[in-house]
Amino acid sequence: MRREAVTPSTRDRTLALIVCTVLALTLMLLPGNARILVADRLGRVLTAPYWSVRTFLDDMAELRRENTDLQRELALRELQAQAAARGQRDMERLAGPALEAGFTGDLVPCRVVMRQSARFATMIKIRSAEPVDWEPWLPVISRLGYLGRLKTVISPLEAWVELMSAPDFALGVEFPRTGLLGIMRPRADRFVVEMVGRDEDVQAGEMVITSGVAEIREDGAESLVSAATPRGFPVGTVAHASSPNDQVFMDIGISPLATCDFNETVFVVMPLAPAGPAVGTGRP
Amino acid sequence: MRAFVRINLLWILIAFVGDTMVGPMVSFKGVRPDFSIIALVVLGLAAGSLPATVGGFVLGLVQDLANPALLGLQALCKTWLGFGLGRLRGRLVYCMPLVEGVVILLAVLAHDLVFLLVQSRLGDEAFLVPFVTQALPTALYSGLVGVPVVRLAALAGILKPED
Repeated sequence: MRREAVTPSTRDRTLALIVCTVLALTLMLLPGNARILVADRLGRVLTAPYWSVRTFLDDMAELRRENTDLQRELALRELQAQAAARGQRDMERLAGPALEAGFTGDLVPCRVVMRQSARFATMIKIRSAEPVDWEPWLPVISRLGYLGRLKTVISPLEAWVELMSAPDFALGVEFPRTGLLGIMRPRADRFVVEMVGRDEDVQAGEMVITSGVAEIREDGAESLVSAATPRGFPVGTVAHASSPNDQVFMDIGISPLATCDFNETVFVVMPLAPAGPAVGTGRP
Repeated sequence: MRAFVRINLLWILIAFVGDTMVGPMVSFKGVRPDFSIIALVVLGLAAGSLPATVGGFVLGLVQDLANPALLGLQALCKTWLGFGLGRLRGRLVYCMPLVEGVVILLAVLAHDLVFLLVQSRLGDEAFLVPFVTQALPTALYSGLVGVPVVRLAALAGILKPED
């Protein structure tokens, strides 16, 4: 009944057809230039908003791609500069020619697509723009420093990353000022460096980097090899360092440099060549 | 009123999303479904000839704006197509995918026939080659892709046999 009330009559339908036809024919019969001008004016009202939004979004996507490439390039340059400075320091303290000054590899820019909303997140999901031949335990960094490592590969485009804050996480670290080694672990809501003797020289505010020395994990020798993180990625700065009287090792807390609080590009560190079996096990 | 809003939202969505987003993704060797005509079929079968005539005119006009040299031609073709499709409302066997597919196929062919005839200025080659290489495959593809779209519209309660 209600539908019948709004059903147009035959006269209305015919009138609409005639009006639309006349309008269309009028537009068709306009002289060439006038037709284009009319189309242009109509376009400003009817389609320009859509095209503006679409062009803007396309530009944004392009800008994002370019930004990602630039960030990757910048991160690479920064790591190379840090490695050069570190190599210089290593030479000054006669650390030996076998010590690797920094990583040699490539950075794959990725976008964080999922992360826990909890303050102390332990995993993030990342997505690469291009398929990557990645494998578990590859390091993941941001421009600020080390974030974690690949935990589970979902596909050549997506993977889950275990952050430094994961409960069973352990990372071989180094104090580059002295070359001192330690193991970084998360403890409740802070990060500590363990296995540093109580008489060693560690000062608040000094930098902590990855040591390139693999930590020993419980799941066998295979992961020992693949878990090696290249030397030189900034991890954090020493927040406090003390030597309690009743302990053999120092109590060192660090403030991590990289966080996942911001939506930014992260990089998976890909080796240039398959990792060899040789993994350092002690002080160089 | 609610049905009016729902029908208009749906056909605009089919035309807009289909042509700008889905079309490029399902394009096969340059042939892709004509979602604007699929949308017009949905509108015609759902609302009748008056809304389909006006909708066809607006849709064609928007498409014409991308090709000002032929301004008005698509509007004219789709106006008449909308009117014809609206006249079919209530005269089709509903819930028959084959019927819906054939309606879409014929609608694309009729539209392209008129469009190409005017565009080619009745030139044999200018008409026949694009009609065989573009219009026919597009009509077939649109008929195939259009069936699930029309079925979805029917499931959404927009196409009703008693109308």
